Formats: sequence, C-alpha cells, structure tokens
Amino acid sequence: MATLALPGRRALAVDHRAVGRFTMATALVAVLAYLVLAPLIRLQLKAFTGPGGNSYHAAFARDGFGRTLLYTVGLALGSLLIALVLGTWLAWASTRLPRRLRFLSVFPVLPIVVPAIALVVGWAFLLAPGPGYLNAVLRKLPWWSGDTTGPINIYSLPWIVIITGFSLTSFVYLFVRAAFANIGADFLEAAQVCGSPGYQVFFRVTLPLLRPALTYGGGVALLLGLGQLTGPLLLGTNEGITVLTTDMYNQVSSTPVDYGLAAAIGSPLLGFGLLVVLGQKFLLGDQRRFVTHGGKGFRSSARPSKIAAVGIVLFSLTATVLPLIGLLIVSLSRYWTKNVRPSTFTLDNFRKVLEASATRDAIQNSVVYSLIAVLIVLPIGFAAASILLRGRRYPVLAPILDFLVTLPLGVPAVLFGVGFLVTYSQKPFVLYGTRWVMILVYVTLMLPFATRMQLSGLIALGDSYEEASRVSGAGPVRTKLRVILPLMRSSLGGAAALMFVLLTQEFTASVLVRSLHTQVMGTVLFDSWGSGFFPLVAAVALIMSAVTAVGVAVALVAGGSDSLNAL
Amino acid sequence: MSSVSLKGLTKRFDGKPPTHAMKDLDFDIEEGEFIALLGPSGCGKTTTLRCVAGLETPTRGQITIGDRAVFDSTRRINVPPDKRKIGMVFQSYALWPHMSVRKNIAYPLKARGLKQAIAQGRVEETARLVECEELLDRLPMQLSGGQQQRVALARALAARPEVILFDEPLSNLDARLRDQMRSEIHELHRRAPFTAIFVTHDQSEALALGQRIAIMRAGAIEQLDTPQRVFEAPATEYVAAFIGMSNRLELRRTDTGWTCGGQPLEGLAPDAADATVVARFSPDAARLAKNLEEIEAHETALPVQIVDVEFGGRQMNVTATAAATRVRVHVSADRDSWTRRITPDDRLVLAFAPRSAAMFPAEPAQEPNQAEAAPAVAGV
Repeated sequence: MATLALPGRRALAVDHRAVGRFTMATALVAVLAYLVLAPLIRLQLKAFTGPGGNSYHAAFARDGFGRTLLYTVGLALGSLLIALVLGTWLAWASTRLPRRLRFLSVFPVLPIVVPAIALVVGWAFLLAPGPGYLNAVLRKLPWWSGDTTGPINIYSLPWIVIITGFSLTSFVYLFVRAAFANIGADFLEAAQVCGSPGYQVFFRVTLPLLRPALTYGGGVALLLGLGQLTGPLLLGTNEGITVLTTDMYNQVSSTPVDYGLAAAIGSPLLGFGLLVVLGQKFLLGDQRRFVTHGGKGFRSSARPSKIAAVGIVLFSLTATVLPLIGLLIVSLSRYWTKNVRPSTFTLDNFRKVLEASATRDAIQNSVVYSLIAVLIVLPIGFAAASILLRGRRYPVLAPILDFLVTLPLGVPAVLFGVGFLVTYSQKPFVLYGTRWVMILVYVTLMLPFATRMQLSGLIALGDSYEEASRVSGAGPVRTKLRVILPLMRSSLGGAAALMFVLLTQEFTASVLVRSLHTQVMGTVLFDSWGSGFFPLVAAVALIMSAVTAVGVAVALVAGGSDSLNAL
Repeated sequence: MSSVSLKGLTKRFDGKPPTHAMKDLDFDIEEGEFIALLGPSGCGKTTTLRCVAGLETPTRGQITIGDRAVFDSTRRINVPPDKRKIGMVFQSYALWPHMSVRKNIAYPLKARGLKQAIAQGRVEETARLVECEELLDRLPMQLSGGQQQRVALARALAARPEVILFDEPLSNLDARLRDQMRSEIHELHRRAPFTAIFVTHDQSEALALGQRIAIMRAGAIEQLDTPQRVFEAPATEYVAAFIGMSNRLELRRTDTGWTCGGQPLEGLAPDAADATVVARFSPDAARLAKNLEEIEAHETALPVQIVDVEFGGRQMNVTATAAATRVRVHVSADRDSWTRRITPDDRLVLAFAPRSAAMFPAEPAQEPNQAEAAPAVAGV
C-alpha cells in the first residue's frame, strides 16, 4: 500500500487501488471523528439547550463561580510554575549525574507511572491536619509542640497546588531532558572556544535552545493543570475548594443531574484545549521534523555533580516514596490515627480487599478493560500513523486525522467523561452501564499515544524495508505481516505496556462513566475514600500501584529503557 | 530476463512551481543488457528507476517489461511492484534485520510462490553465485558492508527476475571495497547475463559496468551510447564536463588564425567549421612545455601562467591561467622530470591534441542554458 503514490489529482484519476485505499482512510477518519467529536459536540449542545434557553447564564451567575474560575487558574499557573522550575532543574541535574548513577535519571518520571490517585491519598495520610503522620512528626518539634492539629493542612489550595506541581514536574522533566539530549555537545564547545564562560554558555546558548521544549512541555503541563480532577476532588471537597473540573463533576454526580450546567462549566476548558491543539499545529507545522535526531548528544562540560544526584534522589523521595510510605503504614494498620504502632500491623486489609467481590471485580475490570482498549487502539493507531506518514497523499484527510488524534491530549479527560456519559446514554448507541462505554472512552484517551508512538517507530524504520519487500514480489498484506510487524515488535510492545499503565490508573474519565457494575480500581478507591474506610483505601491504592508496576516492568523489557520517554 | 522499454515517460511533482523529475524519457534496454543511468543528484535517474520498479507512479508514458505493459497512462495500467517480476538492490541494502541471510534470500521465492525452487536449492545456489554461502545462517547485523551488499544482490537475483534494478548500490562502501564489488558485479553479469538498470553518480562506475550509458540531466537523456563512444565523442558539452573533461577553452577564428581570449593559438589549428567553438579536454589529455619550440605537430598550444602546483603522488596537479581562463593539467611527478620544479608564476606553454579534445558550438541552439554548466565538475 505504500508503494503506489498517487501522482496528483489530474493524472490517473481512476486507480482502483488508490480508490480503495482512500475509501478505507476515509472510513477510519469518520469512525474516529465520531468517537472523538460526538461526545464533545453533544455535550456542548447541552449547554445551549438547557432549561430556559442556554445554561451559560445559569452556570456563570451562580454564587462562587468567580472564585471557582480563580482557583482553576491559580491551580494551573501555580503548579505550572513549580513544574517548570523543578522540571528544568532536574533535567539539568540528570545531565550532570556521575556515570555510575546515570540510572537515577529515570526517577523523576515515577510520579507519572505511580497512579495519581494513590499519590494524592498517600499525601493525605501524611499531611492531613489531625492524623497526618508528617504533621504528627512536625508537632514534636519545638515550634508546634502545643498544637493538636497542623501545622500543615493538605486540604487547602496551596497544598493542592504543590501536590499537583509535583506530578506535572515529571512532564516538564521529560520534555526538557529530551531537549538537552538533542543539544549537540559541539554547540556548547563552540561557545566555550569562542570565549564564553560557563554561566554565559548556559544563558546565551543552552537556555535559548531549550525554549521550544520549555514552551511545549509547559503547554502540556498547563493543560494537565487546568484539567486536573483527582487532587481537587479528593483534597478540596471538604473545605469547599472547587475548580472547574470538580464543579462539572458535582453537577453530574449529584441529583438533580444537570448536563447543561456541566457542559457550560466545561466550555472554557474545551475552548482552551482546542486553542492549544490548533495553535501547536500552527506553530510546529509538520511534526515529522521533530521526530528523529542525530548528533553526539548533550554532555555537560562541567564535572559530574553530587548535588545533582542528591537533588534527584530528594525529589523522588518527596514526590513518590513518602506518599507510598504513608499508604503502606495505613494499609497495615487497623485504623488511621496519628500514632503508628508497628506491633499491631496486619495484612487483614489486603485480605479484605481481595476477598470482597466489589474490589476483586474492580481490579479485574481495570485489567480487562485496559487490555481490550489497548488491543483496539493499537491497530487504529497503526492505521492512523500509516496515513499520517504518507500525509502528502491525503492532503485533506491527514490534517483532519492529525487533529482528531491530538485532541484527547488537549481536551481534559473530564470533558470526555461527561461527553461519553451524555452520548452513550441515548440513541443511536445506548451503551451506558456496559463495559463498552468504559472501553470506548479508554480507546479515545489513548489515541494520541497509540498514534504518536507508532508513527515515530515507522519513521525510524524508513521506507526501504517495505519497498524491498514489495519489489521482492510480496503484496501489501504479506509485507505488513512479515516485515513491518516483526520490525515494529519492540515499539509496539513498549506502546502497549505504557498504555496499559496509563489506563489501569485512569480515574478522571472512569469516575464519570462508570456504573454500579463497571467499577475499576480508581473508582472503588474513591468510593472507599468517601465512606472513610481509610485502611481499605490504602490497600487498594497499593494494589493499584502494583498492577501499574507490572505494566512498567513489561514496558521496560519490551521497549527498552527509553520507552518512558515516548510519553 | 527481458527487454525493458520506456516511452514518453514523464513524472511531474505538483508544487509551486511544478517540477519535472523526468520529461518524455524514451529508451529501450535489450534482453541481457546492462545499462547505467549516470547523472548528478536531482537529475531524475533514481525517480526513473523507481518508476520502473513501480515504487513511484509516472505522470505520463509507458513502461514495458518483456512484452507486458506494466505502466500505461493512456490505458490506465499500473501494475504494483510485487507483480512486476523485478529484483532491486537498494542503496541502504535494506536487508531485513530480523531475518537470517537465508530467509532474506528465500523471501522473493516464497513471496512469488516458488517453493519448488527453494526445495531444489536455489537459495544456496544464488548465495554461491555471489560467494556468500558461508553466511547463510547469520543475521544482517553481523555482516560487513561488502557482505551485506552481496546478500542484497543475491536476494535480487534469487527469483530470476526479468530485470534487476540497482539504486546506487556501491555508494555506501569505502573506495577499495567499491572497486572490488564493481568488478564482481561485472564478472557476474558476464558469466550469467541479466537485464539490469544501474543508477549511479560515479562516472567510473558507469563506464566500467554499463554496456551502454545514459547520461541524464534535468530529467532528460543527454546521451545514450556505449562507454567508449561517450568517452571519445561526448554528444554535448554537459556530457563532456560530466565524464571528466573539466578544462574549457573558448576558441575564436579570426582573419589571422585561431585565438583564445585574444591570444593567438600556436601549432595545429582546431578542425571546426564554426567561427567560435568550445574545446573541452581532461587534465590528463594536456601537457605543459617549456616553450613553443617543444610543441609537436599534432598539438595546439597556448602560453600560460602557473597559479598553483599540488603534489599528487604519481603526478603534479598544476593550475594555470591561459588567457584569463583557468585550466588544470596533470604533469609528471617523476623526480628526474623538469616538471617537478614548476613553481607559481612560471610562464610556460599549454599543449593539447585537438583530436583528444571535444569541440562544441559555443552557443548551442538546442540548449540555451548550456553555458551555465560550464564549470560543471559536478559528480566528477
């Protein structure tokens, strides 16, 4: 299929193979358009057709909406600031690690692969004003010795911002570290030979070269910050801290359900997401320019630094290990109190979780839904990547397809969640309550990853293997099966495992689309949190992390140590 | 093996402005003939090859392999590459890294359903032909560049296709290996002839391998002839420049005789009907003399001033100006020869035999932009 380039619309207008190929590509784009756009459009229509005309007036005139908007922007910008500073510093530090400690450079990525909801719950166990373990430790210090609560209150906006900032740091880190790797050592050496001292090289050469990565990584982090549901929902509800996402969630989850209101509240997020996706297309143009790189890679001319290693370890301890320790202690205890009694530790909570049919089903559902979704999205991503690779052949379809598969990255998952709820609880496809609506939303959320990762695999492969097969007498199908698939095996394996990781920890869309019979690990954890069964919450969170860890291990084995960078 | 014929083949790339990779290309390749497509990068030679393979679709024209039309724009025929019975050797070799050498060579046989041939030992036979039978169970990664090249050749030959297409197959090899592979391909073709189209930008490769050479320029063929004819009688000044006649002198007939840039020519006068001609000759076809007395009867001579002298091992590479035109001459570097002691600013005499030079009309009517190719040493 790769071999017969359509020469232009005038010449050879009827080539039946080209027509067949074009029909299939159109069908794919149509299906994806329905999958991605239908929920967003139907949701948006609700906003215009609410009771009394449109819901915008009702939504924006409510008490406290201005504060919600303010909190949303504050959360996004605050966590972005933390992420940019920490992420850039950590990326720089990772280039200055001593040779023996190079493996440490994976650590700052951990907050992405450990389920976000587990980390948030873990932080709550540490920093809740009353029984938080770290608070209890801090109260032993002379400054706070008289207090009975505090000094830190995790259920407050600044701490929600800090916790969110930690998880966004990993994204900025990934982008900036990749950019560091692409700065050829010779650029910096050239600057030094020209007489620039070290600090000048950093500000005059390194930082300007990082600017695209900082812009892009910062953009992604900003979108994630705006669409953040987990942190504000679990930590902010008690104190009445609402952001747009939690506001939407409340409209949909409490009676009376008002989809119009939820849609109107989500509109700013949708608009901003669209703006970023389209703006990025406009700014970056043809994405293929950015995919492969050569060169010697970045080598800092400065000596390896102990501070770099210490900084990375410190960040990983704070952002990942501490909350996991909090989870571990609570999961082993009978009750969550400020006093830790190792002598009373028990595995009962795990036993209960694994015996209760609700939690067992949820674990099974998570794994099964994720696997099915991965199996569906991989071939779709392969087809989409193949079309994007030969974009010139599809002058109209390719840009549309590119937009469709990028959209789930720009539009917050909470919008897709509510959109799917609206779309699939009415005709023509009434799927609400079945596993398929969960699987479809998972497929949609994974489209960007499935396509991008396979696209870069295909680009790295080049054309000649495929062409060599065609001139050897093999048809398109044989070529794909015998040559392309085996050669793509490792990048396919890496992509599959990574998507499995992201899906088993999915919470935002799941919590909106789930029903009584389609619970997954994240939603069960959230329900137990709401009912106050904290030791069970901790046990589920740890099990969830363990399932994810298996996926990460598979990803590393299948795709090599670079597969985390594919994110 | 079959004949191949291209008729009116045109490939246009839409763009602003639209460009032509080739324009109304016509030529026929006889059964068993080895033809070389020679030209600088961007002249359309690789696109032509890929059109024959079916990897690109021409805008117009016909391609016939044997007696079967594989492409015909008027009859809307476009046979996909896998149905064209061709073999191809890629510049990057494109050996599939996940298959052993044996599987790579057997692939075209399997893909074309020639199980019997595999059973009869065709894979081993082909491997023996290119002397890589001891590599059969290795993976491509474990082979050197030259070995990979051999395996790629074996894969192209295995199914005994009607034509074998070579896309600059030697350009990734180092100079020594390139010479060796070149003579091996030549020998292989002499022992067991196959129809071949060989794309290259290296004139020595084309001269050595091609039974005929097609020299391409901007999507058209400048000359299609045997290497001997191309070398001895280049059809256009462009061809002459491309095959190494890098020296260019504009000669003018006056009432008193021939001149070059105002200076009178000594010795034998060029045999040309036009009033102004361009003489092209290679640095090896000229020599330097101390003075006009040393000029022989069959030579044309012109006073020159030496600009620079490089030591080139077996010869001295001398740059000189003759009537404001730069020329390069290779002279003897023998220790006892006086030419070893040539230094810049020396005033000497340039001598060349008109019969070993090529003469062209100074302003050829059929190629208005010929002059732009004047210093054309591209690819030489």
